[in-house]
Amino acid sequence: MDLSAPAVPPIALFSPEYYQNPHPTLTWLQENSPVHEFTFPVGDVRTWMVTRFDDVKTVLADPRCSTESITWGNDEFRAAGLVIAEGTILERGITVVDPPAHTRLRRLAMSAFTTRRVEQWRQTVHDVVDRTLEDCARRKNFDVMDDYAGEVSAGVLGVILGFRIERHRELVTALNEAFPSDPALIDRAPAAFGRICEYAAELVAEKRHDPSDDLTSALIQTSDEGERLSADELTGLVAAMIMGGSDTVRGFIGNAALALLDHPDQSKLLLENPELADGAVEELLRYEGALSTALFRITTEEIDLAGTRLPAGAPIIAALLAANRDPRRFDDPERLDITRSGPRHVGFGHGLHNCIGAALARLEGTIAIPALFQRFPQLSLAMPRDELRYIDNWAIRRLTALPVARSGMSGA
Amino acid sequence: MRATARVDRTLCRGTGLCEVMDSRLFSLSDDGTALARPLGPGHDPEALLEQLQDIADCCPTGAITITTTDEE
Repeated sequence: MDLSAPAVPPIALFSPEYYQNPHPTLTWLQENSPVHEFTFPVGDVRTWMVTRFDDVKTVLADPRCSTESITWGNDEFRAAGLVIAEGTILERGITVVDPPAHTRLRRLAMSAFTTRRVEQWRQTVHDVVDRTLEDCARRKNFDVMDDYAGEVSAGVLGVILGFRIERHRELVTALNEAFPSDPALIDRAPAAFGRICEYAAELVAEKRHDPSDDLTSALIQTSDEGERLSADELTGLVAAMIMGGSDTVRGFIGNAALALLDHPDQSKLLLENPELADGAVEELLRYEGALSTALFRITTEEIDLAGTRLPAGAPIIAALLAANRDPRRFDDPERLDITRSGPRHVGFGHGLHNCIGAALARLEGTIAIPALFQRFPQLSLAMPRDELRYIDNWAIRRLTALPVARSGMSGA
Repeated sequence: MRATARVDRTLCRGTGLCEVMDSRLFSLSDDGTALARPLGPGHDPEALLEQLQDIADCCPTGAITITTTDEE
């Protein structure tokens, strides 16, 4: 091997082949180039990627690795259009600001998102899941992604935030355009973020006029009573919840369903022991969560990362998917074992910007995933396994479709 | 006045938010759950209480409780 040549994995990062199965590349990087310098395909930006569990956690816990790219991003990064939602109110949204602005938004959002509050939504999730299973039961075959996971995630979010269901399809399109993987489509992202903000602004206006028993109304009330968020901040918070709570939950339920279809011994174990649901969801989040990576982190100063010197303004990608299968951290990481105990995964990220909706996502997972297999114990793939496709997206790991048959008869 | 933080380890999910917000006040233990670290004397008690309350309010699992006593 030519030592002067940069380390390059056999299957290139963010190539079409990588999206279909990123794990071999990620494992190669963990072994051969743990702090991997490469050129990000959008705008040819010099970027670093970390794949080992400890390094991912270090980056996410280091205040010098900021998500506030509008402040810390270098000229190259900005010119490539990689500053999230630049030009919209979301450019200073909760996920992309440092303290103290972050503290103010997070404490307000958290007041609505406590475990206790989420517990009150248990019945909502059950109702949406039952209704959706009822619809699926009317067909011989259905698509887990569109007909189940998509309906459940949008249905629950709709009830909780109080938005009208017909908005969902428009939102899904806007979300796909906001986070494109095809460099040619990056120009559409700002408009898509703008549309998501418009939906959120409409919702806030509606609920201010006519409050109800939903999260949007609760956020408005909490803000009015204490922290006093501006109209834009409130809209930004609701928009962030729309973006964070729809496609991610959909992706996770799909990945989890496929993992259980691939491991009939594990789905049988879960069916026979419903009390394993909590642990099963944690293991499924570890095994194949919905996020491949965390949001870009930007170094606020020169830092030393596991022996590699990074300049100030360096974009870092923390590969959550890789960290959760790091053999340095997890025994036999490629094995799905819903009874696994031991170290925590980073499927919801880590540190300041760890997923604010984690408790709701866990609740949805523990209800929706077992329910699918309880309702259809003979569930099987209705498409050859090797024809399943994942979306071409570097940050989100989601199947395009997961066709299944209710009965035991498999095959397309 | 003296403010003390306590972490309920049955609720803590080890997200590390508290440690990032102020590593003088919280740290993650080896098992991944958070521990409140006692601060020595010489800190402004009002500022400390405010900081602890901010962090407790941001904790994703509501695992941090703050108590105050009148003693020095």
